Amino acid sequence: MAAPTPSNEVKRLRALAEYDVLDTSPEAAYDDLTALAAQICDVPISLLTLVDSDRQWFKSRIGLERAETPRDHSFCAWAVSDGMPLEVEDALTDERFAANPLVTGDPNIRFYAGAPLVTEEGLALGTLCVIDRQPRRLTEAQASALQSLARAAMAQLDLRRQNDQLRALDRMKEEFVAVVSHELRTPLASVVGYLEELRNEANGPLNDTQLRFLDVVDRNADRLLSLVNDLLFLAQLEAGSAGLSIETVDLAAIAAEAVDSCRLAAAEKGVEIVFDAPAAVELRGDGRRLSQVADNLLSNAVKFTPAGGTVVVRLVAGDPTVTLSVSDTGVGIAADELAHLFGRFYRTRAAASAAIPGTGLGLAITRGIVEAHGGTIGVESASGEGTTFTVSIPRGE
Amino acid sequence: MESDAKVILVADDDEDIRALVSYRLTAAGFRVVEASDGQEALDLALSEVPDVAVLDVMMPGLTGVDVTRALRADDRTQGVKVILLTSRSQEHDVAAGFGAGADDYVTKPFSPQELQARVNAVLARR
Repeated sequence: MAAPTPSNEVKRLRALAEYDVLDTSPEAAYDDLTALAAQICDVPISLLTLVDSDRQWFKSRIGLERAETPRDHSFCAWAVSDGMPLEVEDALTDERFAANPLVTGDPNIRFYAGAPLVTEEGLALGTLCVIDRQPRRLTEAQASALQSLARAAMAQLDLRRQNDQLRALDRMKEEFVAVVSHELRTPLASVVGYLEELRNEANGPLNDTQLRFLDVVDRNADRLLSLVNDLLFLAQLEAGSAGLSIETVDLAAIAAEAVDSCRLAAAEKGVEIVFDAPAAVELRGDGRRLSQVADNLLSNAVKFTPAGGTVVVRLVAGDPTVTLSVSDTGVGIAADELAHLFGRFYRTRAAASAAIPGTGLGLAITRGIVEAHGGTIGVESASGEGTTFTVSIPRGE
Repeated sequence: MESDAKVILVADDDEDIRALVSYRLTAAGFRVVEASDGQEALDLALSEVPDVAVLDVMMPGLTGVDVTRALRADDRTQGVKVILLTSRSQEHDVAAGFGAGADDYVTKPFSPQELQARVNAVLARR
């Protein structure tokens, strides 16, 4: 006899489809649960069953060869129909199952106990069930354990669905950023290109005021472009598709260059830069991107250090890990802000209140680059006592 | 002399970019023909057989990379120099372009003067 169709069948099947689990490969997390159920209930067969429109399909199975059977023969469909645990002591003496081919033939079911897998909305998707070839009953403890394991299986299914949803969101976010970046670059190309033609003297002279205004347009087009570039690069870093060009680079030379390019700004502010590094520190990495890391950390340190302060750049050539630290005697970062520091568009209160320019993308990119090299970045700071950023990068190969 | 001018095919679905490139290259003494998508670029390439094709990568329908591949596959257009305009500096776009047979690429936004220099450079190559 086939189980009655649940009253919420349409909703139930839609929910089952949303979990996107039918016909997927076996997974250890589910196999562990059926193994445990078989062991606790002391039976040869245990199944994690999902009741589909015309079949029952087993996400995990112990002691049974087939991956699915027709729904008409399903014991689990009865538990799903009721949404309640079902225990059948002896199928041969139960009119619902006595003529069932799974009872009269292989696998010769006599005993069945199933606990439904119920979603938060109260929809029963299937069961975790145990089966024996001889009549018997579960002890109270076994029945209760079976229900606990069914809840664990349901929690696992929920987790799977949430992961799928998060991955889909992630993909959407990456595509969005890539498309937006592309759509911004084309108009920017027009702005930048026509500006160049405007300045071209072959097209007639411009007066000083016009030239000054064009400088402003130029500068802002540049700013917009670097913002778009940063966003695109960050999206690539997060997607793991940044495509670093890895070669042997000298981090000491890279750090020295960063220090040199900051000297002028530091001197103008009255900030001293101390650079302490061995002659050469070779590692496998993307030189252009590592320069970006050193530039970002150093320019931040100079930006946030008042006159009379000191920025110390130290490179330690450890093996297998090289450590670059940038310390300043600047305004420091409050404890509650440290956790957000590497987030996109995050700006500290100090930066905002002192109107220090920046997009809030620099540290997010810095961390992304360091992590893409298999390294780590950390920060220590206290308000008013300066900040130290420490980057550790494996030498690689 | 008009008839001696090298012919440049400029293909971009963005009208302003197309006009910018045409303006620069016309001012530099080239004869420019314009296409607003990949298919038109391909048709025009077969009828005009330009010396250089400046192709936007991201065009609807046939992309610049598709057009490059088609040009290389046809005896009549095999020798056309190709410069791709890409809006992304990602390695794989560039690699796909060179793989299809492009001679050079320029990333948007670009300097029109630099593009002109690149056109001259590919023309100088034999």
